[in-house]
Amino acid sequence: MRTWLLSLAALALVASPAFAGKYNKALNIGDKAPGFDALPAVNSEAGDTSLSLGDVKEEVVVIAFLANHCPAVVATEDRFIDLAKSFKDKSVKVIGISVTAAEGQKEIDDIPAIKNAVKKKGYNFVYAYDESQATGKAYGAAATPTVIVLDKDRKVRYTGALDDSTMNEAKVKTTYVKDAVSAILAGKEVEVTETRPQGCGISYVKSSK
Amino acid sequence: MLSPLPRPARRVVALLCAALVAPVFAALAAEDEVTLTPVKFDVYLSKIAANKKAKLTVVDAWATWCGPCKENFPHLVEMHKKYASKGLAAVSLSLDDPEKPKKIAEAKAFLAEKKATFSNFLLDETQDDAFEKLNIVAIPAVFVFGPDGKEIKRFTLDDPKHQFTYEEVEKFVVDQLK
Repeated sequence: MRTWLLSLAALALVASPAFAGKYNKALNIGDKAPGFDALPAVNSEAGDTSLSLGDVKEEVVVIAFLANHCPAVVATEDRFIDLAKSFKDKSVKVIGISVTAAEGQKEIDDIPAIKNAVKKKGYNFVYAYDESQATGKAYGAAATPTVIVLDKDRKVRYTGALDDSTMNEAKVKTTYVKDAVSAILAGKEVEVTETRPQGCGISYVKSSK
Repeated sequence: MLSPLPRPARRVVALLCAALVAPVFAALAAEDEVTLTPVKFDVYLSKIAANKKAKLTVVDAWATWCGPCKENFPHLVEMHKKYASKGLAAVSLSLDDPEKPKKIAEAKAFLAEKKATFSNFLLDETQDDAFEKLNIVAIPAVFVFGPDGKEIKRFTLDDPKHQFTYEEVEKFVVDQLK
């Protein structure tokens, strides 16, 4: 009985913060999105390019923090391609950003590696690399994949996971990002504005703090 | 060939042998055998609470697909070696997919290679539920539980501006065991 009560207490202690509803430690809904400039990037159509938030003309921007080495990213890559495809004719820009700087992973996630991934997987969105990791920190990205959706005023309208089943596409019930983008395009309120991203922790190199 | 002993004597010998050998085997099993036990989230918590011998329990959440987890795993093994006698219970918690036998075998092999001779659990939940129930965004993550099974501290990567290091974990453990 005592054990049972204790475990119940422990469960309550661990589970309760889950309802605090705040996973992104840097950005709130409605915040102005941090800018980024001239990040080296790869585009399936144009090849080598560079990416600045200020140059994006589209109404809605979907920023996905990705990392080739991460199985949670690999599990979602087809869904990101589908996402870009489904809004192809709308004013939506999908951007992938890798901020991996840790030794041993960097080589899998930097520009040459991104180039290979874009070619191999046929990514239909622009994929940038930020060696400084500043973008990831500014956007509060703690894990890959983490997605942030911006509206035409470049305000944060959604932050979190791509959908409700990162690791297993077969179990997806709610497509958070797709729903947020559709709502913004329709001039409506985004229903679910923040969810828990989950996946591979992004290691931020201490010296860049 | 030995002449057969009378029946009661044989029993005594057998008992003696068992008494002598059993603790040796038990000790060997405890020392060398690395196991990986699948548990539901609430069972995992109750198992921690049920270990009344531990003054402090440190849980390292990891997975075979997580590079930084594997890289840092030896820290847990080291802490177990250094502080088990002072009341620390080291626990590893794998977030590998419980539905993938190949991954489980890989996890077990890794634990054996690292000589993780302590409680190793495999969280028997979907991976999405695992993150939700643990209330974390990313692994590695470390959870510290007091003697009553209550979580007293967690170390995560969830805030990019305040990420933990295993040095911080060890310092906290040492302070708590004082």
